[in-house]
Amino acid sequence: MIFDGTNLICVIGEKNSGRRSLICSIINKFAFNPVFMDGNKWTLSPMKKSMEMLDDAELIQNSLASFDAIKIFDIENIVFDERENIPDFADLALLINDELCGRIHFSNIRGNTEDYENLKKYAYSILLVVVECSAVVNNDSEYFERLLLKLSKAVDVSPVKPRIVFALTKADMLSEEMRSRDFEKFYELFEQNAKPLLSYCLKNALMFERKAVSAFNQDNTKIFGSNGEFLEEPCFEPWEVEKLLFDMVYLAVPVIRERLKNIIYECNDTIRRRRGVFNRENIRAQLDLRQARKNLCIAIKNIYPLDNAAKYIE
Amino acid sequence: MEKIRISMLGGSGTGKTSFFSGVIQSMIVNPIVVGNEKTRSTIMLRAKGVKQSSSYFLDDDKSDDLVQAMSNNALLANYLIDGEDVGFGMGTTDSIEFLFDLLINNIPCCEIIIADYAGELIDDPNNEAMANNLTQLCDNIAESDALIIMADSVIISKHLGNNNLIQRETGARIINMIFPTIRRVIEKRKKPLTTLVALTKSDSPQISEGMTKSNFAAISDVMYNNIYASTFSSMHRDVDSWGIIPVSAVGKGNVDEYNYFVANANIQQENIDTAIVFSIASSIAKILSDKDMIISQLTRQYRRIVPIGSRAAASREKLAKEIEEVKSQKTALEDCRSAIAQMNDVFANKINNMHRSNIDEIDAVIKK
Repeated sequence: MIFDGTNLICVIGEKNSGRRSLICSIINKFAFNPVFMDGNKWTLSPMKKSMEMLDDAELIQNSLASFDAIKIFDIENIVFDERENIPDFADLALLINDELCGRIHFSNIRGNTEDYENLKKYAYSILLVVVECSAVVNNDSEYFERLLLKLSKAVDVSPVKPRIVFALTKADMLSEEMRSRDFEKFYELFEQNAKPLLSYCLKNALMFERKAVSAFNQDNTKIFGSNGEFLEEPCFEPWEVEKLLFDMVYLAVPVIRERLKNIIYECNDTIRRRRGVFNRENIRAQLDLRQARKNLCIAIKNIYPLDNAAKYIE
Repeated sequence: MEKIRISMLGGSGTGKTSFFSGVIQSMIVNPIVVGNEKTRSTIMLRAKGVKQSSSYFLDDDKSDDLVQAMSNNALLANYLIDGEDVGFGMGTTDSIEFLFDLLINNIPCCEIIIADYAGELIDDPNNEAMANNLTQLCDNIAESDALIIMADSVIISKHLGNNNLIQRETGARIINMIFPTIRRVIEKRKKPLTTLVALTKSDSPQISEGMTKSNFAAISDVMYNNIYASTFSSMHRDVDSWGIIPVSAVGKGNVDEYNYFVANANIQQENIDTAIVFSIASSIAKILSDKDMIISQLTRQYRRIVPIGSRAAASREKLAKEIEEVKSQKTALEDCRSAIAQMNDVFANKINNMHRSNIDEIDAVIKK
């Protein structure tokens, strides 16, 4: 298992459920504009290498260079049929009031064996389950069955107990009645129709959250023409996606902090046991000791940004 | 002499070169006159040199030529000769720095460097053509005292309501992304930063009457709260100054909707001089406070030396000379500050969403 203090978010969902659009809209929302939460400024920026050794010009140069890394997630790429070029992984730094508060790593699971291997390797703290709103409204039981299969597989391979967030996408397509009073009726319908998913979470004691979102715009006439095609100049204003990210970070930070603390205790324990004089000639003990020290360094280094995040979250 | 660096940032075609041409027209050709009969001062620039890529042409024919070219061709190129290569004025393919003396009542008080960066820096900073100069450019930006961010007001008014599109078309996205880094770098140098968003081409007939109302208040609010919200929220309230100003290199009513001059055009730059003076105001205040500190340090050193023996006397004499020199530099800058202070009302009327640091200090000068 690889641990690096990342708020790893694994995105699962059916084909055309809007996984890529959702990731792009979150990145667009937070990378190009600040989002304020309780007066604190939240931004996402490309994850940079250690910047301690860089001089001033290199810092600015790095910042310019990182723009390319984020440009690929431009939501316009969805419109211009370049969605295939959008990577399945995004590695971003979460900054609150310009202070590093952790990493956000999005991973889009397509359902290949290899993807599940990654899930096993990286210990994702959040499983973001993308559910199309229309499936909820139409009570598409087969859809939920397929999704349950993916979810259960992801939970099974995960070495940690992840928290589940249901992103109910394409909420702009919902009727006024469903949208009213902060989606009250729609959420009732979701709890009723997506029972297999929710029961699974309850049965396995997996904490979950749900949020209706639109990756494009609350008003879809600003995106699509009467023929359903994209307008020439669509007006993208992702709706409620910021709340989705807040929810995910709120859920993930305590999980990762707890995990890192445990790793630190384990490493300390290994170091204490293996560094005795009797182990001086024992190669295995020396290797254990070296690995434990290395892991301890990584864990300690990564707990700092999470501690920063905790200031704003807990 | 103290140096103040102003960097112009913006994508291709946003009007950086035209803006600069306007600087020459409005501050070299016609000086700014401030104050009433009793307190009358003039503020103007005197061209000193041009640095293109890595070589400086100081006080030679080339710099004169270039400044001459800027004062005429750039305007013509941007407004009249569409697509035809007229050389320098067609836009900036390389980064150019212009060196000026700032003259207050014809007395030089500091040097002003205005840097015009190629639009590619914002459009496509990671392309191969930029690779050779990028480090140097970034180094220059890191040394800036003021940033003037160019935003094409025609594009903004055309797409008002579609913030995502405006951000993409004006290069605001990349500026929003790099600004926190620039601010952090400048913070290390313990310098205040003035940032102005210049709404260029504000003369265009393509901008509706409603948009130009109350000094472009509607556009300015969108720029402040949406398009450049990230940039503005990264500024330091206690030391930085900022604002949004509509500018024009030719003046209203002088070009038609295709950007051609109308018959009998009466070219008048609008707000360009204000933008430059506002950009240097905080830096002057900071330099003055630094000078005060140097004077007090030198005076302390001077007093510590017991005036016994020839060596002590020589040291005291040397320090006294240094103190006098700094004081004379300070006097020139104080004239500059009091001239700038008289423009406070102008700033308040022409700059939207304005925030000023050191405002109390500048007000105190006016009261004096």
